[in-house]
Amino acid sequence: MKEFKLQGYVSPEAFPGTPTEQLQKALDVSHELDIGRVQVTGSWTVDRPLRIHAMTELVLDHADLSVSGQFPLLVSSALDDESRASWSFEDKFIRLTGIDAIIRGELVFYHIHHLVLTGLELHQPAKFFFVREVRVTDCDLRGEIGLLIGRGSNNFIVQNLSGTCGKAAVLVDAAAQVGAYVWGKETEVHELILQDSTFRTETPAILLHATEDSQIFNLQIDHITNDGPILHIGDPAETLPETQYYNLTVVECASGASEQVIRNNPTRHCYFA
Amino acid sequence: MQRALSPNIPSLFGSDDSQTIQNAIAAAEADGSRQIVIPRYNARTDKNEWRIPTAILVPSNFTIILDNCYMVQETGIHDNMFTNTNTRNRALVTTPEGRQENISIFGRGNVILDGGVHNRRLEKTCRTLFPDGRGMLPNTMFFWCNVTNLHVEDLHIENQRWWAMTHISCSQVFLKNLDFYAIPHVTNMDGIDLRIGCHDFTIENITGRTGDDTLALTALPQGFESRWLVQGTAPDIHDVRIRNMKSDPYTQYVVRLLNQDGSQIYNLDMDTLMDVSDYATKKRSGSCLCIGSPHYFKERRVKLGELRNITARNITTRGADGVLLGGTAQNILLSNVKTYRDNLVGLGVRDFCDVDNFTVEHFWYDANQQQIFTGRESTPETFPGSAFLLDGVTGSMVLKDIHVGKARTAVTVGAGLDVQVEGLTCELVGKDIDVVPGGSATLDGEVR
Repeated sequence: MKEFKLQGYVSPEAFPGTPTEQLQKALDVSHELDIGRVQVTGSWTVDRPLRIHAMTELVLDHADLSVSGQFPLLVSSALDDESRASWSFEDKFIRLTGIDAIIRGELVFYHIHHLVLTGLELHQPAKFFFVREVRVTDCDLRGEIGLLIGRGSNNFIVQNLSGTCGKAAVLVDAAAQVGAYVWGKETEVHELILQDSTFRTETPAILLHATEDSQIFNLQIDHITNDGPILHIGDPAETLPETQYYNLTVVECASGASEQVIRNNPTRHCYFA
Repeated sequence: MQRALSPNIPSLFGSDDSQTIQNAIAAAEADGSRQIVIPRYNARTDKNEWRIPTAILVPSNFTIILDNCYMVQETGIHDNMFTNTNTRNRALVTTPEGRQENISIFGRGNVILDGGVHNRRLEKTCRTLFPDGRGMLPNTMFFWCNVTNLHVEDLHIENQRWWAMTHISCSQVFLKNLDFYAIPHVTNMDGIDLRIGCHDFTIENITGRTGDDTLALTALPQGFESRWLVQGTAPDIHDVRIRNMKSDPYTQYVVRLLNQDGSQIYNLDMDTLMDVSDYATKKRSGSCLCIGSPHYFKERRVKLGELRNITARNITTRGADGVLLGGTAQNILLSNVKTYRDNLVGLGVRDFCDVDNFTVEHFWYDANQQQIFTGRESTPETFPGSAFLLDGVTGSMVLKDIHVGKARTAVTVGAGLDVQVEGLTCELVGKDIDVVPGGSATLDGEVR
């Protein structure tokens, strides 16, 4: 125990069991003893989703994490406990720090305040629901969708990404939700800054999907480069009031497509230059 | 390269955590590594915290890595958490010879710096309750004076006792990825203050909530800081690049600019300012950007030309005034400004402001015109808010590509002001352009 405290991190190799058991034990012990950091190196395959707790930095140092089936690789521990679906019971301060790190499974973040992802190569989406104050930087996105910013999420700074995603590098979807609705939180998606990123995909870099009850607003997109369009707004199969896509800005972007911004829905007070 | 020293080496233990860390700094200077890492676990106390009773004095050419740690200012103390060593000798630090350089404080992992329990030292009472001659400076968490090439990155700061970060006569400063959380239980819980003599700053990714201005650029050479200005240097603040300020400044400003008594503020480039004040608190922020003020002077008020060369683009706010003017403003460009919800005035003025070469382009005013507590709307003629309320502004202004939703007036032009409006759309307004006698306005070339 003292050894963990002095070295400042927990390694899964310190525990017996299957790779999944080792990794989960490391996350649990780090949380219980307030070590605050789990350090993983090498290749690991998990056979069930890992749970990450508050006040944890997961450092993936030359690590390659994958899953053995169709389930997320890592989820917020708050997802297991519906009694925590209230504003007061957020998880705080979670970080995933990668140094030559590859993640081949989904990451599902729910009901978190202060989340940082940096230095990761993501082969599956990182998903965010009712998460606020997030930074995603220096990540390479390889899946069909890179990041899914879902219901109730706000205050993101996303910078220095690269990627070749099949559908979209960033999908902002106010309808997407996992877990229970969090009492005290709005369902809107807002205050997103997406910038300084280069994507190589013919599909839009960023897709927006609002709903009748949840706006997407206060979005700043700048210095994005993509082979295809930069921004795709709305679903052609439904028309929402213009207020549902509101206060959007796209500036100083470069697109190989004929249209930088595709509007499938009316928008309000948007600046696209 | 030598590894960073940790204060967890038993031979470095002092009588308290500040002394322990200071011993580690001294040892790192002696062995040439010039780098320490403060980890989460405190071996001296067997706790996961570092309680700081006296300021950690940082020498030149030194790096401190805060590694996943929690540091809290000790209860009842009156001192900074970090400061450069020469601030302990004001006679030295205010000379060119007293300059320090190459200081870095980097956060790694989840770093939390906590102001702890407040010591009751407040601006209004510090001279009576604590007549030690030190004023409020002991309560700033980071105090930097006469430092060049300073980096402070990746920290979360909570419960600051006053201004979290204070810079006087500093240059080449890089502040990045700083997050604040302050419940405004006392006054003046600013985030970052640039005071007299500061220049060449890069400030990026500042987030969270402060109890007062999140970022204040304040050049008041007759104030307390006059005693800290480096001899032979100008009190001006200039050449500051700001990107991604996304904060809730309580009832004050995300970014505030203030200069008086002959000092100047110039060459500022601001990109992406977001007021994220919480609608649920029913208290709007003051404004997202406050440019100048006609007040706070001691000898003479700011003159036209002393606050100049400012570009601010991509602003989003629901503050009482989206952008607020005061004093003077020259060579200003505001581009892509959006106000919404319970914003009252899109571009307003505190008392008066003299402007020259002032352009606003791509402006969306979308106040909901509802009373904040009752939610009631009224008719356009009785709407509480206007998009451009410029009664008190003198000089000349150009407004281009302006979009107004609901407003009492789109543009109110005061006496002594000439406004050229090019491209104005209004949805529901009592009056589009209201010109007070003595003012003048044109809309797309036609005199109004």
